[in-house]
Amino acid sequence: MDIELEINGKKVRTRSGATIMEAASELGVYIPHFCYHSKLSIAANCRMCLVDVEKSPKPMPACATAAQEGMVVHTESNKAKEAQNSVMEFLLINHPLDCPICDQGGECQLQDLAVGYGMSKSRYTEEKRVVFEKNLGPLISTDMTRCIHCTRCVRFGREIGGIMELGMTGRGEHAEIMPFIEQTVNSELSGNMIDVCPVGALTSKPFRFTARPWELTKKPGLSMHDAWGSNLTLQIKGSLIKRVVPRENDDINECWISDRDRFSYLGLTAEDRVLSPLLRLEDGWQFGEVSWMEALSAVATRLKKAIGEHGANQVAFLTSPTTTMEELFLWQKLAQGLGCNNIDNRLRQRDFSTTLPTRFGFEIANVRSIGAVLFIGADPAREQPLLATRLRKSRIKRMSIGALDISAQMALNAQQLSCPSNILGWLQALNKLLGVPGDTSSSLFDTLKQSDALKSMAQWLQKAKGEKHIIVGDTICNATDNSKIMQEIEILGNHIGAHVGVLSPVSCNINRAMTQSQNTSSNGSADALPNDLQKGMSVAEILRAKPKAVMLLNCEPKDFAETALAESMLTEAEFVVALSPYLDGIKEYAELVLPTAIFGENEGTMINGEGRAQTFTAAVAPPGQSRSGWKVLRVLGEVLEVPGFDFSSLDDIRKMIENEGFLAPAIESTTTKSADTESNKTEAAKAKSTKTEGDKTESSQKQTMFEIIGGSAIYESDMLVRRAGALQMTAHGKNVAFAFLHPDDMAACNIDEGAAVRLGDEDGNIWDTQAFADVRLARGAILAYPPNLNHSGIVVEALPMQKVAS
Amino acid sequence: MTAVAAKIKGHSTNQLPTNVALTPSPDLVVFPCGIDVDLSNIDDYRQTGGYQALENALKNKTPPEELLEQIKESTLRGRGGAGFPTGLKWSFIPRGLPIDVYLVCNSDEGEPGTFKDRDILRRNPHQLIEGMILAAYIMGATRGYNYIHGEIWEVYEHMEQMVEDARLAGYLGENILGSDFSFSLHNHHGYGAYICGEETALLESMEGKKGLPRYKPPFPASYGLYGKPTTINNTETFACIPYILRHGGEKFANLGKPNNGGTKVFSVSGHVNNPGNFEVPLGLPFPELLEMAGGVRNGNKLKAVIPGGSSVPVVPGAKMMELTMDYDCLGKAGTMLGAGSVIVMDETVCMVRALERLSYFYFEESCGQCTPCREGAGWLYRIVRRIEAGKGKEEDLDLLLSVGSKIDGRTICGLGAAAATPVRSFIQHFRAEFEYHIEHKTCLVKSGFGD
Repeated sequence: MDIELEINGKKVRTRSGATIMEAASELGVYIPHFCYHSKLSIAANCRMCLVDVEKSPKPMPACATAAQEGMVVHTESNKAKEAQNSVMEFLLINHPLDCPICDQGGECQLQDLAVGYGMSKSRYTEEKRVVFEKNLGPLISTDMTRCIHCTRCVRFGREIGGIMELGMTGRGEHAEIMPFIEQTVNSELSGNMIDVCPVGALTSKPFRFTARPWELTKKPGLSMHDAWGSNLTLQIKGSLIKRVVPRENDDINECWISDRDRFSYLGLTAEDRVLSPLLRLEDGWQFGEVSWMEALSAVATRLKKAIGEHGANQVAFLTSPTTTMEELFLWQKLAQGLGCNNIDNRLRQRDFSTTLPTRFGFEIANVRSIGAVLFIGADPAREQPLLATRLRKSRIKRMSIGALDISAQMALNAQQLSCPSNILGWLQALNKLLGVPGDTSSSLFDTLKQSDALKSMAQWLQKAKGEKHIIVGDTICNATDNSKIMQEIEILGNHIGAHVGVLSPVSCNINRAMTQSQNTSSNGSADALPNDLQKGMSVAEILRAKPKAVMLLNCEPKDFAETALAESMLTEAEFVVALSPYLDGIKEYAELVLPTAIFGENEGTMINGEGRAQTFTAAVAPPGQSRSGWKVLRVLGEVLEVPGFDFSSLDDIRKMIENEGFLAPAIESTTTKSADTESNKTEAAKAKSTKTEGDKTESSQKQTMFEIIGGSAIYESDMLVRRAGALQMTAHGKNVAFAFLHPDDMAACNIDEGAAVRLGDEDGNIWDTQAFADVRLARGAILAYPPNLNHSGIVVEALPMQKVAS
Repeated sequence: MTAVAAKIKGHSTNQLPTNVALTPSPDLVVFPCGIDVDLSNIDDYRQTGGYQALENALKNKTPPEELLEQIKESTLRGRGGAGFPTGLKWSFIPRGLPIDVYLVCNSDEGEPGTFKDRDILRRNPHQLIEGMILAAYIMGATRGYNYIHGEIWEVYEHMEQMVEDARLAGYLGENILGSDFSFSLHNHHGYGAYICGEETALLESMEGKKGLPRYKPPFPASYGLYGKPTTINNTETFACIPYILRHGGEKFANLGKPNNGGTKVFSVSGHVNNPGNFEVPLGLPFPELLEMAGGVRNGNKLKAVIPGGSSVPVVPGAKMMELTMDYDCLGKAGTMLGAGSVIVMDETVCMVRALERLSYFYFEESCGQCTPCREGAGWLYRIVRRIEAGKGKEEDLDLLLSVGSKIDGRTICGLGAAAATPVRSFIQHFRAEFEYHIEHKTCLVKSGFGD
């Protein structure tokens, strides 16, 4: 029901329950404010938005006063002005007048409004308040003396971030914003506090003192680090991206972005950036700079030679999930033009015997209308940080959330912790209890079928109302036996009428559909493949087949789940070409390095987890001689004389993509499809895992078996993020070096907090680290990110070693 | 009107008389046997007619509406400071809704000059408990809380015992006295923050959060404790209820004057010979109250009186001697009855120093949530402190008035206005003294703070 009121003599209709602030903004009337933020709860504490409401003796705060039928409001009357000017005077008495050296200067709400509402000279002659700085970690810089106590940062943490990392302690003038004692700010969304701070109290630490806001050119950008597709504004000084802030898009990221999106630009200036094409010198150790034409013709000659000697099936074309749609298309076109179909970008997946869903299964803007979500092996805060904010908001509106999970994330309606290998048992038992006929082969089935936890999970599922979703996280997607688990999930989804979607591995779902079609004959779009091409190998097969020539596009061994295997594949290959912005990851293997553009320098299209394609343009020129990947591929295609590479623009590529029928429907159907045949490889993997079971009983007397549940660490997800120094300094970044276990498991193995432990896989690789307790983990799980273990068997051994002197 | 309570003395000593005959006076409400008589023993309280009103209401199944009519008729007004008609306030609570309704007693007495609630809790706790039970019966509340100021810990412990006694006697708990009415009462103590006496800050504190006043509306009657309809009243207000329901609203109203029914406990402090609590009918001329408190010490001249606690405007002594102690008369005189905390100042008081002390209180007790009070209270204090220190400037008085007026009416709660009020009234009535201080950089009154 609408109501009508009058603001500054103009009538405005607004919804019942709207505030004066909202009604005014509909009318285009600006009311000055600091604490009010459209995405946060109302605090009404700054008092800047006091307006004159007829029949009310006192001025009323526009942000908190409900608009009423027939209300007459003046925002610029003497009474309103006087109130606003008074508040401004109070705000300024203790605020330092250090705008010239303040990072917020030029984009400061207080500075801007002081021009309109402040006096030219202060009447305050007493001493000013001084507030000591707080250490909020490597991302947020503080000047707490400038704080005006609007509590936006506190409310952000409590309402959006989900963790109240900052609070206001003390009373009156002694009130201070601070983190909890001895703590700092660690959430994966903390950078948004910088944005919501209306003054220079919280500013970006990496950006600090490197540019003034008015020197910055602002260009639109797109996040490449997860499947959310957050919209960004890139702020540029000269030829460098100096800062990244959100670009508001209510359908995707609202006005928030994750810290990964915000600070990853720091990796653009990493020391190992490749600035010109490099050719390995004859001594085999060093690279020499060569011209583009030299480099490209060297690639062509060597690649043709390799194909001639070993056949096209001995070549692999690998790329990362963060590659743009156009580059991905050209990558497969190039490969197929050379007669090769070994193309993949699913570098973290291990079991390819089933086709995983490639989408979330929901539209981001519709998250609020979902009735119930069951997460399976997912960690939304790590995998898609902004999904967590949407869920948090929706839960207040009675969304019901359950999880069959490996580590407890937050208080949920139904939650069961389990090791990844037991999740299959849980699902089978759950399906059985719900009356679905199916596989009950899991050894866990008999133990679980009577458990109360299972019954309460089943009850929760039966009671769940509204639109239902099952969302699978990367722990499951990348499990060695994901096909069985996905089969049960599909059965469960069909039974309860839920959409099945994947949260996708960190930054690993964008554009996945393109390569998937190359590998799976059951996928409809694969019909477009020329008949004479044999079915290509998946990444897991490529790693084991050890091809003679490997072409890498924007990826390095750390991008692979099986890093050690990737390293040995690259070592054994005769010829490796890397199209890469960075050198360190590939310098031991590559014969040729072709410098490519990355985030902000690149252009193209990304498809997010909803299936939404978003196109972006380059904001800055790539450094040195590096070029956008599509341009490099275009010339490479011509040099290799592959037909169809005579286009001249991205638009031409998009037309080709469309013509060849590659574009997936905007929002894809999300049920899983089993593969027709399971590859021999999977049989082998099965045999292997049976063997591991046997080993387990043998060796368990001395060693304890754990399952690694790390997946991809939040700040290890792609090349750029790995090189963003400030992110690596955060707790999330530093914790990658350690292993975390449930305290009971630590006690059972006599491992002390901080003790040295050795993790090993069944291939004999070992990784030494320190162990710490984390009570949220499932028993038998170990949260760790060992860089060199092929956790293909997912079973590792934790050996207590001597204590590390602290 | 005569001072019916002339014989009641202030509690100048902590030695309470024992074996006093329990003879309640029909003209006294809060302390029916006198201020010195301890009725903590539940049997003593019942001997004075205690719990009769409750027993009658439950036995006769008196409809709550009927009882509420009595409250309205009594013209009882909130004793915590604002003086809002209690009967009207109680009628705001939605009835018949299938949600919990809470009852809260505000015993967070922390304003300079106030000390009446402490005596009610110490000497006549069961009357408060009975009052709360009756209020719960009227409003359909099933749960009540008594929020006790953190700095009177022994009173909190005492009240814990008293509530337990009442429970054992069957007045609290399930099916009270065999009726179908149930009510449980809990004591809760704060930690001494003045702001927690503000009713919504009190609710926040009770919910386990920092005591910050809420923005109103919504008012507690619709969104109070844990988001449920809640009635909050002062200790003394609840303590009046048993009398009203036992003797009838009319009798209570007749104790005072029209629209100012009943008696009021005044806490007289400052430069009087016999400071203490005095229960007198509303409308008593101030000189009579002063006389009960033993008059101004040493035969000194009365300089000024703050009649209702530090947040109400000060009144010059001569004018005060013409006023009667009730809501309407003091309101017309430009001040307030407040909580009835009469601070008497004799001619030895330096008004600048007195104001410095008051401003310091508000500066320290501002919660810091909203801008005008957080910044303004400190500004006011610093200017007054500077004047007192002999560093005042000519324009300071106008600046003080200007800053005060900019705080007033622009804050979330009333504390901001309370900080501005003393400044405005002190300068209004004693401007010459402030000007002297600025000009001569020293006190007009040589003895300073009345020492």
